[in-house]
Amino acid sequence: MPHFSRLPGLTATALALVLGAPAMAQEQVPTYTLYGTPGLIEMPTAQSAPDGEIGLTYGAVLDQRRTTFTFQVTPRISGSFRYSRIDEFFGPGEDETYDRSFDLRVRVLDESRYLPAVAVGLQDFLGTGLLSGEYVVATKTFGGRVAVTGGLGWGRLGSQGGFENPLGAIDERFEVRPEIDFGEGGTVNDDVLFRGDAAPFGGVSVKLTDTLTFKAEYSSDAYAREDALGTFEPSSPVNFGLTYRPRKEFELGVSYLYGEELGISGTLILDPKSRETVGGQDIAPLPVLVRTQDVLASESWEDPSTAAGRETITGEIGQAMKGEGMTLVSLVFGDRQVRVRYVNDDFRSYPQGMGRIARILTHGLPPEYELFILEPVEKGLPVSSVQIRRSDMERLENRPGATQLSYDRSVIGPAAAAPALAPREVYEIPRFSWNIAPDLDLSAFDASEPLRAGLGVELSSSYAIRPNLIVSGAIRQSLGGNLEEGDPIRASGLEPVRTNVGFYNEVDTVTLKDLTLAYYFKPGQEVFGRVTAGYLERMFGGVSSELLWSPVNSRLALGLEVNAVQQREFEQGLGFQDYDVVTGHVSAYYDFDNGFMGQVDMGRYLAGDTGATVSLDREFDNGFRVGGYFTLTDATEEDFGEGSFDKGIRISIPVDWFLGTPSRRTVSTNLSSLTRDGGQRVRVGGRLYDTVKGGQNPDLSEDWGRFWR
Amino acid sequence: MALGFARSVAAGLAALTLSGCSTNDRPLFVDVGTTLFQGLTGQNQAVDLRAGLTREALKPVEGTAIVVYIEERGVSALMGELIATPNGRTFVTSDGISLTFETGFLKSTRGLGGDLMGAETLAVRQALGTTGQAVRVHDYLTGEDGIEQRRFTCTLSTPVREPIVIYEIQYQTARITESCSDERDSFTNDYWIDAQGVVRKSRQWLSPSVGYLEIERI
Repeated sequence: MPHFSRLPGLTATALALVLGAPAMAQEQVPTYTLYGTPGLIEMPTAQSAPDGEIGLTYGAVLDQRRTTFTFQVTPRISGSFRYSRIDEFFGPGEDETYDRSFDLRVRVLDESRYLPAVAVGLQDFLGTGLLSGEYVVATKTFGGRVAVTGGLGWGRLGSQGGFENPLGAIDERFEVRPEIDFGEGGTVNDDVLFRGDAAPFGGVSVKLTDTLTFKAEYSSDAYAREDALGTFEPSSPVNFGLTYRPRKEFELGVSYLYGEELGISGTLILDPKSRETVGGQDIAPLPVLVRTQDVLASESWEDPSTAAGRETITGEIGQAMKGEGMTLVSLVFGDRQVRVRYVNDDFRSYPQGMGRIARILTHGLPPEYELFILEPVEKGLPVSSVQIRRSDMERLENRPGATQLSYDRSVIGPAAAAPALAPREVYEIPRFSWNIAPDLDLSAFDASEPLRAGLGVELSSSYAIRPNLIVSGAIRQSLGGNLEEGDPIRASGLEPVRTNVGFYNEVDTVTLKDLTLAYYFKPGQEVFGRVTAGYLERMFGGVSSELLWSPVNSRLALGLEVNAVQQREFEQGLGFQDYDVVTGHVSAYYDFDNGFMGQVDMGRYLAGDTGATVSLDREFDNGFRVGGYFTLTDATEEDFGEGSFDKGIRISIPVDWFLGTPSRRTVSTNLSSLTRDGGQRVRVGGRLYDTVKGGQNPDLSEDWGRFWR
Repeated sequence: MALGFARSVAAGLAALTLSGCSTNDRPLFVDVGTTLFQGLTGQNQAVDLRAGLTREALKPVEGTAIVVYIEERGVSALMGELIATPNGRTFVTSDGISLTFETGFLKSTRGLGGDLMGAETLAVRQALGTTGQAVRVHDYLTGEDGIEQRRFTCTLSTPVREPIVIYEIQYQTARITESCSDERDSFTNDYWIDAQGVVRKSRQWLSPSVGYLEIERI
């Protein structure tokens, strides 16, 4: 063990060498409109943003303030969620209103030498449809600096210079666009799409310099409703705009609109694929010790056939692993092989931790040990087994192609059922942890308030009685904010399981957020189990149990969950209210090989409604996730209330993606869910799929790029 | 540059959604706060310590050491040798950055962000002293945690006598220039090699984001 003590900086904190920014991409990328979508000023183009790009736009135009989140879901498909404040909505001097809207765009044809790119889009196609419009648009670029766009719009985009719908030739029902009957909102307005008058629009964008783009457009939006109400009267359909993009992370726009007013916009642009810190500032790993004649002659190791020797070896390896962000659980010495069970504390990428353990073992183990079997442990349960050959570590280190070769030569399978009888050493692992931190409870884009927040301070702690038997709890003191309090603003026709959140929010004393005892077990080699009992979340307590079948090398996993819960008192002490319910779901998880992750849960929800939740997330290999979900249950739209059914968009960003230092943590946010009583599940911590997923395939193969990092 | 703008923005966004922090180590808001603070104040800008370095000051250094200067960042560090194996000689800084060399040629780096994950320079090293062409292969980590392999075609110059001084000691060396390019980047490395074939000093390109390193062997 000659080199451990000489590897410095295990407690490195300083950013001694600071990272530079990669150069901006040179290809022509579309600018963002005042609607926060790729396009001109108000009108769309057929161009798509780069695959995976996220644009967050604030656009101030006339009487509207639009905040838009746009995600380029695939190279061809993009979706937007928009939250608009519309002033003087009911006429001059009247109140404002807040409106949420969704867009969807598909680029159906790529640009070719002679033909333009063509896209079809739906703007605000769900719910109230205040901004609803559809379009078909074509864009042709010339020489990389000039792009010319022409299109045909319907709805709002067919109101300026509109003519009889050409689709009327197919079916004359296309000729009339009915009023939207949105009911409780939130459903697809499929009876109005591409109906009513159509109108042409078009424009041109010219890239003046690398950072400055000039745009001119002929808008097919006459602002008819505003004109009729007397809140805005356009005097010209022609708009001009200038977009300034000094860095790849943001752009600013200013425009002169409808011959009347100025519009401004700003867009923050995130590219989940380009992690600016790339490899990150993780400390360097210990290099591989190669068993050369010199090393064999000069180094000596403790004798693993004695208990004392094993203890020394285990202690040294455990200490070195701790220094690199992992906790050794046990080391089993076999015939020229060892099995290492460990907890991955620091690395989002399991292979990165595995590469480090394998290198540490080349120093810590006598030369006859050739096979390293690494088994990451979560909640006391080994989730997989990865076999790595010592001679491969020696052969491949620092060589081009080493990453793929080391993956090809490793053997990934289920963890051993029980510890073998071979001599085994257990390293002491920490059992107790606690944390105190500010806690921000955010609710964005509410129908009456753009942003609600409640600030609190939270003390949490956990104690592992055994590695797989964990007591944990958290208390919270609210420090105020503008969260909804008291009676539900909009009650539903269902049992109030979430809309009564205001009563929970108004408690200003210390509350027990949760307090649970969780037991994890493995009833089979590829089956994981969990039972959690206690105060599961702030609104419900009881027992939650789960089984998950998740073979190590399978893209498919199946789960079963049954919960018996009772509603907690609003004070969030130890007491309960009368309402109790048994909920349960069968779940299927599928990790598609194109980077998408799908999940279907079918069963009974908290209000006693039954149905299914479908979710689809794009998961980048670096852990960045963007996705959406919806839940349909037997609760009627009227009973559900506003929104008609539960749905939302969610983003999850790994902390190492932006901090550049190793971490397994993520920050997540839910962009658009309006939490109602229908389709709600118990919020219990430690669900099994997320617990085991990172240590199994396909995640291991997707993260293997960091094996040698 | 102190901190990527995107990282500041993302860190700021994260500060708004702190509810996801865990119990194990420092609360997330401490990390985010530190990063933002450093980004805003430009703190933690390491300095170039080479000007103040003398042979006298280097006396306590045991074994082989190198002084490395990262041109684009304007920072330098003294690095001690950690280990020498058939896979290269690895030097480390006190805060956990490592550089690995194969007979003086950069083979891999860790901890610089845009790291060189591995390199094959055998053909170039074998061609030293000739004016032939050779290919070098570099592996890089991508933002999506994949590996991108790049192959550079390199032309070597004839050696030119050029004595150098490294902290008051003069070396008789020959300078060899290696000009490389692939379809995206081109770079020129310089090596000052003594009569025993030891690379005493070099200027080598690492990656698009890190740029050139200047390395002097002590």
